[in-house]
Amino acid sequence: MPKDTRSKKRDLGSSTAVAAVLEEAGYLADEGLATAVQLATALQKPLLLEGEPGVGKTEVARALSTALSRDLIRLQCYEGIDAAQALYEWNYAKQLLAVRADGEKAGVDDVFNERFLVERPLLKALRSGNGAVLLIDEVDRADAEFEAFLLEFLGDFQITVPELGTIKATQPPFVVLTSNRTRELHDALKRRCLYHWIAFPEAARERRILELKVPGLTEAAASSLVEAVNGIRRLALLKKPGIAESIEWARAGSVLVEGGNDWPTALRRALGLLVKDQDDLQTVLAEGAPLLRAVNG
Amino acid sequence: MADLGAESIAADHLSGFLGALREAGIIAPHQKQQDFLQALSATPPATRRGLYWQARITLTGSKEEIDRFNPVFAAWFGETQAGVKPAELDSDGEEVRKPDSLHGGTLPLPLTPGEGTGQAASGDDLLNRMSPRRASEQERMLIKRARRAAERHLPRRSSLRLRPSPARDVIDLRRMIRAAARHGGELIRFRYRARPMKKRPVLLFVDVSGSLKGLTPDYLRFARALGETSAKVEVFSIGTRLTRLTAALLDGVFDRALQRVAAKVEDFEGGTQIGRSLADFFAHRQYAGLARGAIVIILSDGLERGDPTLLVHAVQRLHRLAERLVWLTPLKRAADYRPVTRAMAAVAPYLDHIGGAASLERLAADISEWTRP
Repeated sequence: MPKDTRSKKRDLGSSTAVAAVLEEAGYLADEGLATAVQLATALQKPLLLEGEPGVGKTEVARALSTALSRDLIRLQCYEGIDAAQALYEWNYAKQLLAVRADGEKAGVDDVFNERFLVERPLLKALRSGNGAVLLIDEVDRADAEFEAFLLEFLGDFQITVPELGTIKATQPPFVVLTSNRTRELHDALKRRCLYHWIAFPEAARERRILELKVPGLTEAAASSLVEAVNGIRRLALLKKPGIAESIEWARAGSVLVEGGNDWPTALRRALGLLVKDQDDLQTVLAEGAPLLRAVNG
Repeated sequence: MADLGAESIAADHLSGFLGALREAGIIAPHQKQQDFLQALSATPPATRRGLYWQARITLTGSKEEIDRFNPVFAAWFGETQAGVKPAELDSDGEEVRKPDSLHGGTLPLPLTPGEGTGQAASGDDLLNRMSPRRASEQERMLIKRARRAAERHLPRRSSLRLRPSPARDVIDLRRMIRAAARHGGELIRFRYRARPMKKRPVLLFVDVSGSLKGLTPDYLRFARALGETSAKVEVFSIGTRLTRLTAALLDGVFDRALQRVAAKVEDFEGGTQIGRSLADFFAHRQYAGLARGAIVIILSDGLERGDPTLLVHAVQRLHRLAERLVWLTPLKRAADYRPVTRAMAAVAPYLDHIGGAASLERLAADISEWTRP
């Protein structure tokens, strides 16, 4: 290992240590995810996370940056994103002024140097001295060609700018890529990454997550809520609710309960926060009614 | 440090494990295997569970691979002593290689999914040959019409790369600044860049099974018509097996094309196992890339025999890879067509368009329907 990435006095040497660090930042990771983060640190490789929407892929990066007190640099991918938006761009207005001011003396090299470079997320991550946490979110939304831009960056943590040469990270960033699998990623990209599939959490962990994220939720309410959510996930839905949705649902439910409703009524009213499709909503109301009735605080 | 004997047994076991993964269709490239070994030496796992996560995270690359990874891991590092446990059957019924046969040869390709799923080869896999006749005057006209319509309507995309161009998309400030620096800071003329447009690739699957016998030549002619446009077109036949027809159908003189295809395809008018044919498509890694970002067209009646699971999986995968997934079926004769067969109903949610394919005329006329954004 060329460099020690544990400069931020946090121990990420074992999966239990990683889980503890993440928990401090409010993220409850299971053993698999903790191992993935630990290996990504030890091997200095990017971590590719896939999973159903709302299982906490993006949250991982946020929790890591909080826990390690490093910068979080986020690159949201979208169709049509290209190098100028992800890597770097030249500050043309400034270049033009410089050329005009210097008149005859100005050479081409004078304006294509660091002073005129505009950092975009990937370059910023390389040049941030303390090894930032870089989140490349929803990489499956970008065009397939864009993945090719990422290869050099992910493989060697460097970027080549034709006029300047190669810029390399002093301290490699911790890179998290997320994908919702709307399309398959290239093998070349996958080869450079560690891969982890985040599944829906088991009931015990989801209950702890709810208790952590929804203050004032009783233990009985939390566990019957999780049971209801898991029951709803088993129904034939177009989009199964993720953890993000169940947290929202529990929050809304507890607000309504404080306002004087009983749990089943409150949850039925807040159902739109858990299930966000009209057909799914009908299915849950028809088949999931006993699940809702069973919830009590 | 353990003594050398134990170490070399462990090394043998690991390399056997990696070999078994390869045979199960998880082609972990050298780099990933290296990651795995590096992870092992950096943080030796204390438990079987720890080893499981280290191996899964470093060696797999998709959810499908995880599903195939699990039984292999269980066979090699399961509760029972490795080497004692007999070979297991995974969900597909494929045999997981016995842990005691180390250093086996490597298969160039993963096993064909569906091999040995109990669906015996259909009885009418007759490997019939077709004798195609020359196209009539009217057919030639229709083919020409299809080609024109395809040339005009097939979806395009702008390439991601900006090229110097007279089209005024983006001002090419980089070039202008360079020029300005040479002329004392004076901007003399505007320069532009643009993204050149090009057609998306097209991938066609033509059903050649018995239920379509009269229509197959028309479908092949239609494929040929698309192939004569400026788009990059790939053609495969599906039936009881997968055959790549691109070269036979698209190269050379038109009238000979169908004869070359007839010589190549051995399952004309055989049974219908579209699911298996499409699964074959994905078993060849070099093929799967052809669907990426492409317009994928399946010309078939979708009368799949037996369990549609394989078909659904393949269509889901096509849907994830393709820009647009179009199914053209001769059964759709009216606009109110609803997929009724089990297979069609199961795949319908993953299709971007279901169109009619009752005749060459219909195919030619409807191109603008399914190419519409």
